Amino acid sequence: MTAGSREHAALDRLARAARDDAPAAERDAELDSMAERAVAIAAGPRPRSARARAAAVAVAVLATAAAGVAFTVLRDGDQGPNGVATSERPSRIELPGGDVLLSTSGTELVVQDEDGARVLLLEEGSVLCDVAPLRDGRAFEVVTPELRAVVRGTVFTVTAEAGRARVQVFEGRVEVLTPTRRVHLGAGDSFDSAEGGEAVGWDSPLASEGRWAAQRRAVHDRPRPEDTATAVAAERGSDDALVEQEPAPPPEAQPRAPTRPVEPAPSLAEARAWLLAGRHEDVARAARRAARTRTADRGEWLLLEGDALRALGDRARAADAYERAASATSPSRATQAGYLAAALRFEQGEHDAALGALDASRADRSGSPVEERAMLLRARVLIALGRREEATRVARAYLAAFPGGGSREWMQSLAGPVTEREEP
Amino acid sequence: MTTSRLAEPSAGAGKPMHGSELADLVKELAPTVRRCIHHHLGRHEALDDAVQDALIELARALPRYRAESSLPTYARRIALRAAYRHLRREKRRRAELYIVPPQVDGRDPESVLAQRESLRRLYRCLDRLPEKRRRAFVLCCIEELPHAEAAGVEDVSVETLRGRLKHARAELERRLRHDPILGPLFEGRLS
Repeated sequence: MTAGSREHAALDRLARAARDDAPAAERDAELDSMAERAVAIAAGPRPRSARARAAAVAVAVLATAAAGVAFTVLRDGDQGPNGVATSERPSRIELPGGDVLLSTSGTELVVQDEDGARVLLLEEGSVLCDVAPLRDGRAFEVVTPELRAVVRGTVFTVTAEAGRARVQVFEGRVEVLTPTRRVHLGAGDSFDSAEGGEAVGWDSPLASEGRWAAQRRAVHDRPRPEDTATAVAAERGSDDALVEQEPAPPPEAQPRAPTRPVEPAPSLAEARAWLLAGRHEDVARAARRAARTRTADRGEWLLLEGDALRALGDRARAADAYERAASATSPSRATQAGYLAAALRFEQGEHDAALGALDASRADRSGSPVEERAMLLRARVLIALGRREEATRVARAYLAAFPGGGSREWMQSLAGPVTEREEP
Repeated sequence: MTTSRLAEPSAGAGKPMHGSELADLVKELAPTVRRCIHHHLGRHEALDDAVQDALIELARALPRYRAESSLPTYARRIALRAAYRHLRREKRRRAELYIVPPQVDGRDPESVLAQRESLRRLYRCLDRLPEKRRRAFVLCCIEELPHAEAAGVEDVSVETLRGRLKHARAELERRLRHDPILGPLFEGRLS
């Protein structure tokens, strides 16, 4: 076989594997419900493009500017009796000045511009505010019946529902005013008007978008030095690492510094942005330092350290970091951290340690976010330890809990024939 | 009506479509859409979002269907548009860490993971191809569409499609030859 035909055959084999990897073209309930949802959404009004919405906003602002107050209807929806806009769909809008708003479906919101101050009146629902840095004299506020959130260039969400409002901050600082309190929130902080303090264990419906907006800001506001970008690109063998980088200045205009500039300690959002940008060593170093000095968000930093070490291939230390994170973060995060530690221990051949991490984190308990994966991992660990009988019990528990699970056949082969008495 | 539309492209084209008929048709085409997007994106975290977007676009577009191509080709075009829109958006996020889902399908987990890793590397190489070449490769080699049909999906001549495919294969083989895991397969050192 010639080299050319051998390569052709190898590529065809890979392509066949990719074809076989896709789900069979059969209908299933999930796909049917997606199709029904699609038809229902398609039957509604077509969303306007971002440009069209921005134009509508500009027209609305100009039309009412003469009165000194601008009410901006966010998007097409039902116009309520008090000038409140509602929408059945999640929406995104860019306001004049660079502020970006994301709202969940059913949000009732009015944007009011008055004398350089932008005020969002939020009746119900959840809105993410990616607020452009404000010039002197400008202000940005979100007002709900329960509280007022005053900001100066930040990313945060406000959620209002039946007599309660909650604020979550992803970047920058927000001042929250209630009839009885004034609270300053920083990145990672939250506030619940019903509790009168931190919204413990609560994540905004727009939290992932908020984190992403904060990370994007961190990348844009603080571009990496040119030499670091080049190093990352070379290391990954990809042109992608240079995407979004500003063009490098000519060498004579800005000679390369002989040493790497010392950067201040990053925020959590910045460190996460570094991780996405491939700066794993920087993240591991910053996270290790922060986990020693910051008690409030120590668990989050340890998780980041674990992610960075795992990306660097240092699995043993990554597992250590995850195990420490499991004892220093929220219960759901702790479960995931424990599972990751166990998976890494198992990969290292440390089966007893893997089992210990699974036991400690209870990752395979009913209702755990990683229950199915953790059950599979436990079964594999038990087999590796020669405890086949226990593995069989895990397999039967898996089949009872996940009768349509992805590992069903493997678990069935492990569980063996099920007797009538054992059937659920 | 639904079945006849799928079997005979011109059946019912241009006629008003009732809600239940539209729903049935979208359901009929949904597996094709999902499979097509899966082939083009691989096991991508945006897969479900892309499928949902494609189905919405399909539901909006079907009442305007004029039978100038077969319904599966029509649906495939819409699916590709949604898939590559998501891909372009996701590329900006760069590499993300994830846990490999344990779908072992009766095989031992290690071999499943090894295959996943091979496919992950294939799709990483596909990510570096120009989009037109990537689409040509996936349509012809992974989806195994005849060249004429793939050219119809892309709305180009068969010669243009073949040119893109040839360049795509050459570039993929060159990249995969240097891959530390898949390289030996291309050098004949692994079966």
